[in-house]
Amino acid sequence: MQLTDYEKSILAGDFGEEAKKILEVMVKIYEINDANGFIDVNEVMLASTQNMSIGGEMGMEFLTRLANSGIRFKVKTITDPVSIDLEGWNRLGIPEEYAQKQQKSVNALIKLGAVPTWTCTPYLVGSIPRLGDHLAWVETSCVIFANSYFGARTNREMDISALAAAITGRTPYYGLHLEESREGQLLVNLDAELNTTSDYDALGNYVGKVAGAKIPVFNNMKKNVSIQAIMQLGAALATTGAVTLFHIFDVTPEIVMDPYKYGKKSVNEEITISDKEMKVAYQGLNTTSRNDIDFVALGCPHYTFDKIREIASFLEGKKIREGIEVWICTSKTVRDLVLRSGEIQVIEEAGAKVVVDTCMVLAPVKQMGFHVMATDSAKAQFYVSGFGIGVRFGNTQKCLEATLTGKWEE
Amino acid sequence: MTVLYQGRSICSGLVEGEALVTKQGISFLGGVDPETGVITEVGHELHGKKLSGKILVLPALKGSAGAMWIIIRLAAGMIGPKAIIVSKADTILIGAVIMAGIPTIDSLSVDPFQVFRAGDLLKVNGTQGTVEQILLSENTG
Repeated sequence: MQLTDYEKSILAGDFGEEAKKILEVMVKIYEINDANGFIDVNEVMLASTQNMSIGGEMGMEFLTRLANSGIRFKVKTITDPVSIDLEGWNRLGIPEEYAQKQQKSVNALIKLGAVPTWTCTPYLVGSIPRLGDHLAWVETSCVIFANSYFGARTNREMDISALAAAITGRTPYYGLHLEESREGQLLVNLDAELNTTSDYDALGNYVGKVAGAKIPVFNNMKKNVSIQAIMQLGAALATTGAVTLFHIFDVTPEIVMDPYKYGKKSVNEEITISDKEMKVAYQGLNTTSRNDIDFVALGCPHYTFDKIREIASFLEGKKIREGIEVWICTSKTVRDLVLRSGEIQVIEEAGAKVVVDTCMVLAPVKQMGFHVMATDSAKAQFYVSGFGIGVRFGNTQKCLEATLTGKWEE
Repeated sequence: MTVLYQGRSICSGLVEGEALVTKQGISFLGGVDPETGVITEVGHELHGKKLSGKILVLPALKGSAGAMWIIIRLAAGMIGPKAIIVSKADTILIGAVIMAGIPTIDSLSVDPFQVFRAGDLLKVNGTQGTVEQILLSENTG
């Protein structure tokens, strides 16, 4: 392992305990994976440590000490959402003390040189990797999207290995950075009609369980599948499985370039998804029998412009039932765009909140007292169920109808 | 009597404790309560079980990378596993156990799910990458 003088100096403790630990983890990951040197990365993405709901106060203090050590990021480093809406936390009912603590990691990351994107869809706000670009991204839905949709190359990093890449500008050369690790292994034949974006959530949820860590290849998906659908599919696959890359015949770049190499050569298992499997997935995604909804949360991953428009068009002239909290989660950048086109005003007049910088998975929703949530995201369904909140999963239309009635129609 | 198995060191340290074994992956974020160390994932075979003080034997982590901080926080609160034996350590687990200082080994010479049972007394040497299984005779057990 060839370390630079700068890296050796960090490992010797010249920049404090935090940076030293971060590089110790990098060295261990290099050794365990028998890496073939280091590869320079174009971009890093951070998550988790920065969240009050994940890193907690330990995470806040860790990043603050790192920022105070004098270390600065060497490459462009973008950031996943935090646990509050940075400007609108008060109207969400998040306590001031919690918001103040959360602000510490925000300040620390900006001081370290991060781009304050606070979104899990950075590719909608300027992070557009090219085919073959090497990245060190963290958040699982972003990792799978970068690898699959763009054909960029990133392992499923965690925050400490990503911090190491941000500090050093490089990452151990192994795993998905290597071309031979990217061939499809599990052929998924689609024999079901997929209509709504939630159908792609259900598909990802089902296939993720079968795939484990294998690379799925989707056959017979429609060529004009929307970006939002691919986002939902990836997020769901990475939730139930350790899936970090998938290919879609005629859609994603690597398999378009070489259908044999990515779609056939290493395939050793084949499944077919029919209406029956889709039904099983939908049933498994409902973890409560309660029908009284008090929280409707959409936008996991953070919604696109198109999807927010769809919400506004439904809610125009309607009123959300009293006592139901409705969150439409997106990035600040996308929100500003939709504010200009007028849909945000329509959504907020109906009584829903367009929430930015955070989401239903990362904000302290359990402590906020919600009992039964409705969502159109399989990823949100999984994590929020784990918090002990009952979850109803269905398509966007069904969730929006629940905002008006407060009831989930079976 | 004891039986010694060789694996690979992921994080150093020597501890002894009772095994908690699962063939299912664990999602620490969303699947474990960070305040109590209890497994909360609906449908998990260890649902309702406490991780505190146990030698956790599992195939892999699953789900979000946020798992790392949950493991670190559990360790800081002394309510997490004492040591971890995993089939194959991934990046998230490596980061978590080094940051938290949890003795951890992987790649055992035997299938851990064939030889370890819940309640077994195990001595994990994370530095050497070994695990000792202490077998109690029927009289003393």
